[in-house]
Amino acid sequence: MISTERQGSRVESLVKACRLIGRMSRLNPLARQSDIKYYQLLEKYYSRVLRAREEGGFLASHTVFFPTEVLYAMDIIPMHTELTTWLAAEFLGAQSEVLAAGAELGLAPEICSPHRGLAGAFKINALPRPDVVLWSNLICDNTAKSGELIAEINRRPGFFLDHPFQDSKLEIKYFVSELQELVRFLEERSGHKMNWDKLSESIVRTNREIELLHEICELRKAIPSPFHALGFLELLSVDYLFPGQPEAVEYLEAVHKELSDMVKQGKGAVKEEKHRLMTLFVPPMHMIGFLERLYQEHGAVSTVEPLFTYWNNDRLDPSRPLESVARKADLIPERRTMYGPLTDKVLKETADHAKQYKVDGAVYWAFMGCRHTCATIKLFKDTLAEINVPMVTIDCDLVDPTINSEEEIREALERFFEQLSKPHVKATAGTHVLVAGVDIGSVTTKAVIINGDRVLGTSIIASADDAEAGAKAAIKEALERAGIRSNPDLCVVSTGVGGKGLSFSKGHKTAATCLAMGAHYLYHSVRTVIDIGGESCTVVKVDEGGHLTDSINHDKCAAGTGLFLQQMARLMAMTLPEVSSLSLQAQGRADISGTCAVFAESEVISHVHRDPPTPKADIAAGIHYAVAGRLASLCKRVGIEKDVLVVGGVALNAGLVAILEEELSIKVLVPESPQTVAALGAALAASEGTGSD
Amino acid sequence: MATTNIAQDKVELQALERFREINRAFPKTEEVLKYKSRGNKVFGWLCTYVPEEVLHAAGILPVRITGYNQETELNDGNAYMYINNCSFTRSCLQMGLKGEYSYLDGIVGGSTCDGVRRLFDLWRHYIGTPFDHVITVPRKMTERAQELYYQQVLEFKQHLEQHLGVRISDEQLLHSIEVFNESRRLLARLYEMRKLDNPPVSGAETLEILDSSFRMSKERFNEELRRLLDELDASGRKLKGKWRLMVAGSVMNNPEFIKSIEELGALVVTDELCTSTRYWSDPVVLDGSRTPLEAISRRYLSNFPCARMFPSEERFNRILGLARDFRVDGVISQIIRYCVPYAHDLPLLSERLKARDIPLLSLDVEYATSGSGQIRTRVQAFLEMIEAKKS
Repeated sequence: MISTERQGSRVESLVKACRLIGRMSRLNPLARQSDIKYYQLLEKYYSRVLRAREEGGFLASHTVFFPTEVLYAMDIIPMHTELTTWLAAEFLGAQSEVLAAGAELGLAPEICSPHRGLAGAFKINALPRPDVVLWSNLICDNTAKSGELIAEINRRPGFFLDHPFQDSKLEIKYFVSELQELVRFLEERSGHKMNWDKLSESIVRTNREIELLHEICELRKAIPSPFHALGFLELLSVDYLFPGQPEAVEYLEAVHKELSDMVKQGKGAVKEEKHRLMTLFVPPMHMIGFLERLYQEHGAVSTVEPLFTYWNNDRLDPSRPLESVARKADLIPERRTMYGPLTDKVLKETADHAKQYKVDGAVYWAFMGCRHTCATIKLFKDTLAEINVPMVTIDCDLVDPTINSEEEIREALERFFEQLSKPHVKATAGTHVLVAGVDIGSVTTKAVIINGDRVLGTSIIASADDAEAGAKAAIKEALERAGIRSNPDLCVVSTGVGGKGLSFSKGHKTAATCLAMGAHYLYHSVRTVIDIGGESCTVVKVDEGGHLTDSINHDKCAAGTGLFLQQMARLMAMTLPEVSSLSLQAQGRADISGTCAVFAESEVISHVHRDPPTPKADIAAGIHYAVAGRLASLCKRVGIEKDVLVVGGVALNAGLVAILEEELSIKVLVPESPQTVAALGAALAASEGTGSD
Repeated sequence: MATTNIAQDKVELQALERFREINRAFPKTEEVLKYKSRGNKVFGWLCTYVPEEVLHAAGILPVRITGYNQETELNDGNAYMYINNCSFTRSCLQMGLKGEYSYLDGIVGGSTCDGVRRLFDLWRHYIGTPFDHVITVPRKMTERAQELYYQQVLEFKQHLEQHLGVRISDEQLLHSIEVFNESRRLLARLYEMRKLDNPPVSGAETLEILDSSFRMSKERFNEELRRLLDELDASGRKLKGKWRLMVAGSVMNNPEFIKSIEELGALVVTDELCTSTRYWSDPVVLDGSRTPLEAISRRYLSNFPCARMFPSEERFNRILGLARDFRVDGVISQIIRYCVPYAHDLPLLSERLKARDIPLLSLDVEYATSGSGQIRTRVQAFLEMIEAKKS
């Protein structure tokens, strides 16, 4: 059993954290005034939630996009449930207890983590017990389905607000009648009366909010862009917490003034603006501080977030407040992009934004708990590709810190920033000095020595526990192969999972860039590189100049990697080369799941022990189909273009390569030394002096 | 544990073979192709909130869009829909992308769940059909929701009329209601037989019948089903099962899954699936107070609800009713990974079953899973547990 916390403990900690951050910001002369205001607002909001009980207030918990204006107009204290779990993740870090409590309730891990955490938080009393539980189907099945369980846990009455799918007149009429029903419900439960004048006033302020948001968007078009990297999350939070309230207007006015001043002075949010980004969906909330620093370090800034900050430029009618509340739902950008049909009009609008805000690239935060936004990734990527804006997709979780490490996120973003920088690669005409590239993988370490455009020596050794010693040994061996016995002062660029932080390396490049450079050096015709390593697989797109144009990798799961193949070979009591050649002779193929390495293992065992046993050749082919299927799926996410080069240790497996060709319906190239292509790329980067920190 | 294989006690049903033929050939069945070659239109629909009678009345052959019959690598599905959408929607999309449904003249969906509405968006963008329409389906079943849904059905009918250049008359709708209600009556008769101590038909066979029901014309289905019911009456077939089970949860089209449960000696006697009970259970009621279209729309919104509907209690009560009427010893809930509406309901449903002392086994599955390996082991353990409880 999970221990029960003191009632409302999570909110208490939130208040303390906001107070502390606010105090620190006030002491910091460089702090933004809008930020100081932001923390004051959060503190105010959560103090009120916390004091609700003792002060005899009526507390209503509600899901995201619930029309909170109605609650304010009735003097009911709102508690935004999803934002509370987000903010708790941002300020308090660890969410493990609330997520564990959610799991104990029987909520499947595929359910959106803020919602799982939410039910868990109520279960262990981490949030104050609300007087009523309110929820709606805006924005997804999770919001639609979360309320009944929460109401039951709290043993409180609940109200579900049914938001229709599209915005026809009749649907708005239905929604207005739902709102009337909500008001009746709340009046009955709270004993508070609806103050219609107050509601009208909030509509007037909502109009002002929309106006300010539009002006803020305009200011962000400036070069350099004045708003800090992930500031949009603050814009969102303020509207989620204080919609149509004086606090929201005050905050937006502060932001507006700050940005206007900056634009006038030609000041940008980052020291040297290099990358203007479009942000799609929301990054991991527990990494906001880290991401702000990382963006600052790389001169990156988010200038537009079509899913969140771009409101329909329309105004609401204060004399018809309830209708206006209903219509507001159709003005918010989330409604356009996440709920309701995703039309070509919305996609075109996104492309227009990319142009207007002069973005160089887009980052899609693929939050695995959000199914309906992830289903639009390809639509957005294809739309942006048409106007030559590359998009990177980063798998993540919004609140669960165990899903991604900061290093993973850094790697993914840096690779993308390298791609956006497009270094000029003239791999065939380098400076004539002896340089080395070293690729430290999870299984092997590879080194390549080149002089100008000539490869002098390569080496492949088993990776050591100590990456530094391993890299040195690999370089030494490559030098020996090159016939160089002395110990020259080499310029070294490193890559690979262990390639960071080598004391003697001049720089580090991500594997994607190195693969693109190495592949281009070997074959100018290559446009796609598939790298299958020990613990990960990467697909890289290269243009005719050898520039990296897109990449995707898969490292969360062993299925589809070299280690997976090794494990399967062991189960069959064979060596990898044996499995490889046997697979080429297969008549049929055993059904083996490509989805999970653990399940695949039990499937292989059952094929081996079946009576009569499945022919070994068929099992071998089945294993290769599982891996090839997985790889093909990864390739299809970035789109495959000829020529295709397969590299990495697994490229030596002819059986697998044959099946991969079949799955992709394309002939692939395999270089003479497929394992050293990334190291070669690193050496070329060293030669060009492009390997930088 | 002694596993009585029910297959040993049963004579193969001849009429069943016709249903199987349809399922094997789907989506490109002979009947569909014949329909097309005669210049008639075939429309695909998604989810039980699309009123088929309206399509039928317009002279269209409605077929239900489903995914692959077997668990398949969903490379295209993953690439277009991402891996965190349920395997049902990814499977359907992949079949569409591969041209398996290239004959469709139109698709009709409802705003039922996130996965389905996105499947619809992607279908429209990457596959495209000459006609598409998505119906807003309220989540409530109140009078106001009925009004909105009726308007939606009416708009759908008008869109269809405009697209086809025809008028759908009340007489045609009445005729379609009669054809579909006849199916529902016949299926109710089939389910009545499953209430017997020794039902003449297995759970796996029932799903085969149901699968084919939305893959051929209703007229022909009714004819085939009548033949099968007669054969069942005449055969004196009596299936033995040690345990009577209900299968609940996400969309399912694969009889192999149920077969693997029944091979362990149990009988699946009823279900709460949108491809079975929830598809046919409520008839369109014509009592003179409503126009045919009103009667249709009312039936579809207040039918045995999907987990997407509010309040969930309505669905729970129906499940408990089925458990009682079919005298089940346990419920197997199978939820496709990322099927969020059902996943959210699971804690609430298990509480309610527990309160009535009905054992529940909940399985995380992929669409079209055959129920081998771990699933089989878990079902077996569940049956042993029921056995221990009984004695």
